[in-house]
Amino acid sequence: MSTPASPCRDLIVIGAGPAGGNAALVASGAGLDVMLVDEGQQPGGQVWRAPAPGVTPVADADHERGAALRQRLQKAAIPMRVDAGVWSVTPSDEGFEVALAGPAGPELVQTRRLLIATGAQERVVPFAGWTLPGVFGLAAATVLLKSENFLPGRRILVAGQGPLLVAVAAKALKLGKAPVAVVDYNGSLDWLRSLPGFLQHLPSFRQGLAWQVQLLRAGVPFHRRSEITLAEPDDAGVLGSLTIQSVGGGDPQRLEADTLFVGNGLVPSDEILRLLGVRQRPDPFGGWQVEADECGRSSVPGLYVAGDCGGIRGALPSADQGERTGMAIAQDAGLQTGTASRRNPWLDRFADASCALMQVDDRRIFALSDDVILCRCENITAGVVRAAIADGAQDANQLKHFTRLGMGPCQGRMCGANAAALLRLSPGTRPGAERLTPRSPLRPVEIPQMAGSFDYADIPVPKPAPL
Amino acid sequence: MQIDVNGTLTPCRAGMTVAAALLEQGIYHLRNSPAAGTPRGAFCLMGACQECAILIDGRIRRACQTVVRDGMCVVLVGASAA
Repeated sequence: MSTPASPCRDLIVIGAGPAGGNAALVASGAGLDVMLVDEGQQPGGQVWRAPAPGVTPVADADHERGAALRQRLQKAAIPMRVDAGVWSVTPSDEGFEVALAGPAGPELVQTRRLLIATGAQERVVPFAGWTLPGVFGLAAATVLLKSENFLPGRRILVAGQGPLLVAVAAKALKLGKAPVAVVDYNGSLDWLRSLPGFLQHLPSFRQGLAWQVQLLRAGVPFHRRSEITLAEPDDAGVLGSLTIQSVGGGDPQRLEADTLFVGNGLVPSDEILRLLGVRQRPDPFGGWQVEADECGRSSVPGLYVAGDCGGIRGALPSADQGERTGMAIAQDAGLQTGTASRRNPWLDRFADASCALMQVDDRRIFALSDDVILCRCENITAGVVRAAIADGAQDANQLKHFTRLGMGPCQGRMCGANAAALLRLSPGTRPGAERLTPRSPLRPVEIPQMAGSFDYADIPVPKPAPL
Repeated sequence: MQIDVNGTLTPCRAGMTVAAALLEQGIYHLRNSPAAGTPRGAFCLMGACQECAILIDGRIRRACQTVVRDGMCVVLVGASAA
């Protein structure tokens, strides 16, 4: 048959970032038979992403931590599936069955325990023209910087909110591409409120401060409490100019730019967890967290969670969580391990400070004008969504049925959080039902990727019943 | 190393993704939205948004998750490579 059945593993870890990578190391070190799965070419996840072959990396803390993780994983010889997409996870007699599509073809793997460490994805608050080529996510810039030490474009603008804003702007400057402007949704007061939290992790604070000083010295204009309201094309149909407006109103300002990096924080990549029915609770900073104990045990037996997919905390708390969860899994399997490090309250305060700057008030989405596209794949505007709600769509799934929102290839990853915000504030909608139900296949997958190659003669055909 | 982009040989380096190779050449417009017909390009670069799903060696692949291969054939449907 096409999908070879492999022996049942003790543990499959999905996601090889700070959380998943460290968990796999600890669990494997304790004696468990672990398989580590990741969609990337190399372990590290997004934040500890490896440079592409032949690229001289920027020797910063993230790169060093990523390189150390990759070295340890290689030394531990943990079976790994990279460049592999998980398109289905189902409960099975043994525990869980994980369906993979990767370069080696389709694979179905059984496991007794499952750790989800799939991290987060970026949220972007939509604006008119945000589908133009040349508009990129803010995290997209970090992908190119980490893997290629490169940013495209001649006139770059950096916008959105959160600590990443300054990081990307400073790195663009270092590459000789001083941003045309930095457009920050937050004001100086918001940053000041987060300052005590940032001081809890001095190396990161110093780095952030140094970036800020470099940008100010280079004369990069900062627009505080401002946002992008319009992106317009040039003659070739790609990004040509951007309109900036102060949050409190005031005159809009138009700037020429060919490249925009814009991001408004992170949302957990929790599709697999929700597919398996974990209990969740609202995150104090917006969005959702997975209900789990200190060691990542979720409400579903045998299912564990570590890192940002269980609630946004950032790289360092995720790495700690991964270690604790790896230990807990080994202990639950009856193995002896060392003692887990305690949860670090300073890192949590640092995470709180970052998350506070990345909050998106639902009212911002609610206030979008009717012509702004919410769902990029299907071109569904805020106006169409409002009309559907007025017509009786009461939850996210009904919205999908009414409008096709979330039905395209990204499966609601780009529009889900924003549609949820609109639903929450619209009268007559069902509270707590504002998110799309995740379904398998969890990502677009072609039939040959699922089926693999096989000979029809090998398909077992049961004998027909006697007449 | 080179890839074929809409019939034009385009330089790239081993190990980089198709998306990075195209962006290095200043190619932003990768396809048109099937629903609206308007230009689209790479957006999230981490495999989530599917905006860079283009024809690579005859199959629909995300340019940001696909590593270049010498002679790889990339077709930008509805977009000119110029």
